[in-house]
Amino acid sequence: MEWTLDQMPLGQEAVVLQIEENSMLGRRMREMGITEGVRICRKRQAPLGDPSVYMVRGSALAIRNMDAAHILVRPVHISVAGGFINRRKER
Amino acid sequence: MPNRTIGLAGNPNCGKTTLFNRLTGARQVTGNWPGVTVERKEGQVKGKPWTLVDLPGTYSLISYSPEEKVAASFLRDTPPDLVLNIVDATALERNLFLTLQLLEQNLPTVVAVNLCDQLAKNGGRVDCKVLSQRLGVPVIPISARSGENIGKLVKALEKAEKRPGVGPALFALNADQSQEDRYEMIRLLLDGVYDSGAAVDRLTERLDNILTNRYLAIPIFLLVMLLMFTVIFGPPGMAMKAAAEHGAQAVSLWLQALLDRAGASWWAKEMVVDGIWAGVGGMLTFLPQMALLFLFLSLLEDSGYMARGAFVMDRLFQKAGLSGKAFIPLVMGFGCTTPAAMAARTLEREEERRLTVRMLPFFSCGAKLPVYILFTAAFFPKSQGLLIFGLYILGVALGVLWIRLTGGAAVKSPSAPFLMELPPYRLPTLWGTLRHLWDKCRGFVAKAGTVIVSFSALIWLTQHLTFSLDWTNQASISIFGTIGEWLAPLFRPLGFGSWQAAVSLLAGIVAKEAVVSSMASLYAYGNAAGLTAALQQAFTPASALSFLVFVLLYMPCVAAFATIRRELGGWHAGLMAMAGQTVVAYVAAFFVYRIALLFWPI
Repeated sequence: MEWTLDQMPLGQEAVVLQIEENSMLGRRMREMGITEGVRICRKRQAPLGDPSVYMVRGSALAIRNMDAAHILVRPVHISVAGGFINRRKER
Repeated sequence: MPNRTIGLAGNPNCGKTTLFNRLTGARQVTGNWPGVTVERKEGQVKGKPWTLVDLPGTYSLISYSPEEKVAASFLRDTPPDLVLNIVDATALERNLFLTLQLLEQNLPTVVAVNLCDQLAKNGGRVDCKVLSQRLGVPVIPISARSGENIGKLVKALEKAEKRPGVGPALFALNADQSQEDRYEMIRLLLDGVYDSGAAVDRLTERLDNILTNRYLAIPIFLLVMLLMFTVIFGPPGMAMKAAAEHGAQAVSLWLQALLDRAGASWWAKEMVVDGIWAGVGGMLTFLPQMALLFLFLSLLEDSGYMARGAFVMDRLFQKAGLSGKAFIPLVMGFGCTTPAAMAARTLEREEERRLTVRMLPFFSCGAKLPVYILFTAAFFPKSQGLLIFGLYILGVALGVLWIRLTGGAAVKSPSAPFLMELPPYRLPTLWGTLRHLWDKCRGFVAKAGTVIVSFSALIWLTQHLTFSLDWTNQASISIFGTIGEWLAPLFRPLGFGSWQAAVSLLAGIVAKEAVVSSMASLYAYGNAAGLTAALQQAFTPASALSFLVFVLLYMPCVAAFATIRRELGGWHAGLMAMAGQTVVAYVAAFFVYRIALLFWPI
């Protein structure tokens, strides 16, 4: 099961599989610790829906949805079941 | 003990500034790194002949932001004798990314681990001894805030001479390593040595639940903005400005008395008091409000709330090529462009700073309000509020459009991504805040001051000399007035081709407040009541509208110009921005006039 980071429900923890982005953005993300195999969790969403706060390596990072869409992740364990089912429908 | 240069490097938000202040005390020098609008701080370490250079906070040395370029080129081209790397114990993994790059520079290095107390509170721990063995450099736990272990740190700095040793884990350090490899190395380095505890401390968690709450976040943020605005541009700030004006008056009188006693000639007196002091004093009356603004910005930034504000507001700004951080300077622009341009310094990306600074003048400043009130009262008394509000909206709309048009490729594809850390909430230190304030105010006075003073002197001269260099007090025959007369016909297509209007607009270049006072003296000889009547004679509803639009959009005052020029980095950029705005003002006023004529034919 593969999802992009922006599709993760709040509170769900995942493992980063790949960053499909090699420009400055991708490099920046990797420098900040978003690398293959790292644990990442979507913590909050801004009131207007964008950006969201993700916890990575002990820091809170704000990432825009359009940028998070480039990050492929695999959920660690389903802790927010309802969220996933709804998301499947959206696709 | 030999003189040494020490480069202080570390991530943003890890307490670097606090450490810098603690090590250097009062002996600091602030300036800019050459070629960029990035702040450079240097200081002497207390009690030692060491110069500590504060490198900009960076997450890495190899990306393309001006801050990273500055740090990288400093270490490469003018390498210090020693590198002091400060890391945040609560985010050690990410902090070590920079540490590895610093070690690659092959300079003697000391690592200071800050915020250990916070790490302990989060239930984590770090074994600095083992980490030091693995990294091959001294690793000292400190608390920059409380001063704990600073003595030990200084001792370590004293003894550090050798290049980084090759500890057991550090065998393949090279610049070609990918980021993944580096993080793998960090994992090995921290294995068994580091436990991060809870990811977020409780206070931050609780506060963020409220401050980024879906329903509360934006109202709270707007309230904070409103508070800021009211303090700076409302009664408290204005009272301080008035006090400063009284002070300036007092100095003016004192100067006059002084020059009298020294037997100075009458024109020297006038030049110093009316010309130079008027300019300098005028600028200094800005200072209380600037200081208040800097204070607020300092508190917002250092506490960590600024990042939340940007986070909450970001969505609105994405389309304009800006990020949420631009909100604060732009809102301040509704008060006064000058401090707002300085507030734009909080934007990390140079490109964003430039866009924001160029957009600022379109956000109608407070000094223009008297003009709006005067003209709407004279011609559109029933819809004053609506019209003035409309003017503000028009300004914002045209500002966004103009910047999109002239921002070019930069706006369409943002050069650097929006990836912002939300640091834990921290209480700003008193000393740090005051020091910050002092630096910012000094910077404003020094740089903006010189331009304002020379411009004011120049304008004053042209207002009192005729072309044949005779002295005059009559505005109409002075150089200033004559230029106004030459320019007047240019404004005829806009409906206000009188020399008085032109001169008033020119005077508005000194300060927007001068537009009304010029009109008062030129049209009505200082008679306030008569001014409305005089305007009703001199203008028509249509030309009043176009005049208002022109005032809204044309180039800002000298003080704003000086600050904008500085933020954009040069005369060329500054003058181009001013010219562009004035062109927009002209075209917009023209269209408004022609359309208004359909409704109010003369």
